[in-house]
Amino acid sequence: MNDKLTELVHRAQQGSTSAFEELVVLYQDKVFSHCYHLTGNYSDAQDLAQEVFVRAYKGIKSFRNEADFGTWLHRIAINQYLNLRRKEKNNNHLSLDEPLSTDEGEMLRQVAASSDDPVETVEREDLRQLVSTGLERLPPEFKAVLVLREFNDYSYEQMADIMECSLGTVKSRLNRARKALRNEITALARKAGIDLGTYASENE
Amino acid sequence: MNCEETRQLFSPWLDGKLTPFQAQFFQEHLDGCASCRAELALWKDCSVLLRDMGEIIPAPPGFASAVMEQIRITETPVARKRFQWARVYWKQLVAGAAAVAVLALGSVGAKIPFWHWPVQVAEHQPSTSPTDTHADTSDKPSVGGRPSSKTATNTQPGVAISSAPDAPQASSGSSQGGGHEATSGPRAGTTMSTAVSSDNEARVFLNKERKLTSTLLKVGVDSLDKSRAALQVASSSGIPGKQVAAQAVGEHECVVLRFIAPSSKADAFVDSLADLGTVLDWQTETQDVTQRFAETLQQYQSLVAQRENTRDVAERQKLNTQVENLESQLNSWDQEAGQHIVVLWLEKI
Repeated sequence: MNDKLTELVHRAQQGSTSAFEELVVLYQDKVFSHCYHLTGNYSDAQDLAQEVFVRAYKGIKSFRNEADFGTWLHRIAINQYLNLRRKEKNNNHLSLDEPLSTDEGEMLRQVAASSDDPVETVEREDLRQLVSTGLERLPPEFKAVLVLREFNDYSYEQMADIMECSLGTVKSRLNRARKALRNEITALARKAGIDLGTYASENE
Repeated sequence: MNCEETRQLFSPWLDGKLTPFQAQFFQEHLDGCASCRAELALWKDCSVLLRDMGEIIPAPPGFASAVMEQIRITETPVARKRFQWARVYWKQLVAGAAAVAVLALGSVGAKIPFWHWPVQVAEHQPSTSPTDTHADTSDKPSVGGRPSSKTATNTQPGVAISSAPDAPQASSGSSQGGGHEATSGPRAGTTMSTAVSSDNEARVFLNKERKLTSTLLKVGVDSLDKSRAALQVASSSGIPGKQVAAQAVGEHECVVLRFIAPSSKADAFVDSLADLGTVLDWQTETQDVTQRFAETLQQYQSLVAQRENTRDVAERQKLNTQVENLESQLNSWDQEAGQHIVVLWLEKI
């Protein structure tokens, strides 16, 4: 953290609301974007981002200066997002501990079978749609790791810090999340009548 | 390495996390497997697309001040609890409909019997209220503030302010959200206004989204003269406002002021009012009255139709009163949508 930030955080920790307000102004876009990426809509993002800062204000004394303030806010956002989603409903979240080999066999067969068919290629815009929709359909834990890794370009170490877990967990959760996204894309493509089989070979 | 083992490494490969040893076997498999190559290309493109989606989306304007306001509210749980009772009263102030309100002040241990609205409440707006006793004004487009016009009904010369036993009904009626007409119309003042305004035409209202925003700000001050400073701040920003009540609450003397600020100016204005002293309570509320407006409008239109078909004089007067009450409620919503009602409560501490 640079000196100005350190000083602002320090003053906020001493109870200065004006210093905290400066921090809000400095980080609002970053936090808001993050919340938008997590919730997928403007209104929920606003609520979540506001809650993040309120919680940050309450917990600012627990912030350690050697950490990055933005990362710390992202951690609050992730935790709060996951809590909200958990409360929301006990929907059919995938267990994060289930074996990795879920649809693997089926996926392989599909790819193998479809790559023989000379159908039209998948447009990039189609794929963008599939990715975007697929992401929204993922369990929140999976979405969260993808947002941290792909949207924010956090390293595994930073992710482990934000998610308060081991590097191994980061790695395996990312793997599961990407696989789950890939499966969503397959399912969505099938519904939309888009053949993914020729996609990749066209891009080789 | 078979296909499944290779695909387990797709994710770490995307992140550049393969060991040289893994990378070697990974590449060897890919070289000989078109299916895995195709699949990996898809994973890679998904990753690229995701990265494209991660753009910065700026926080909406006013976000930081909303956060700070939220913090102020949550920071004062004691004050919040203590002044919970003020919410009901606040709503009435905001609605401007109550001539009299009863406050039970549990924590202070004092019962405030009544709050009398001073007669001058109605003066600050050029009201062409349909409840005015002058029939000739009532068919003009109603531009006057309904809060004032509603109160004007109750401040007609010779019309008694509601008496104490009515007041609890009044407060419960309006705290249910919206039934402001219950507090005002059919009682005080109506006998005078109905007799003369039977000719007024129904006003045309449009159904559209209407939201009312209001802030209650309770500030502890060393001197109630601060109310003058508040009015000065308001007038320098071109915000109409006026003192609506002055009363001792237990051992505390209070002054209540009410302002109608354009939404664009409201935040800065409330901030400057907060600087007058120690903020004891700060609550902002937005009510969406779109639905209630539509329902009230329907009721209004049907009463207007009924009135046209009624020959009986007494019945017609009664309908007339109801029409006027609904009209002033609709007027009020219509006018206050897009504006920000600010109630400043100064308490000497």
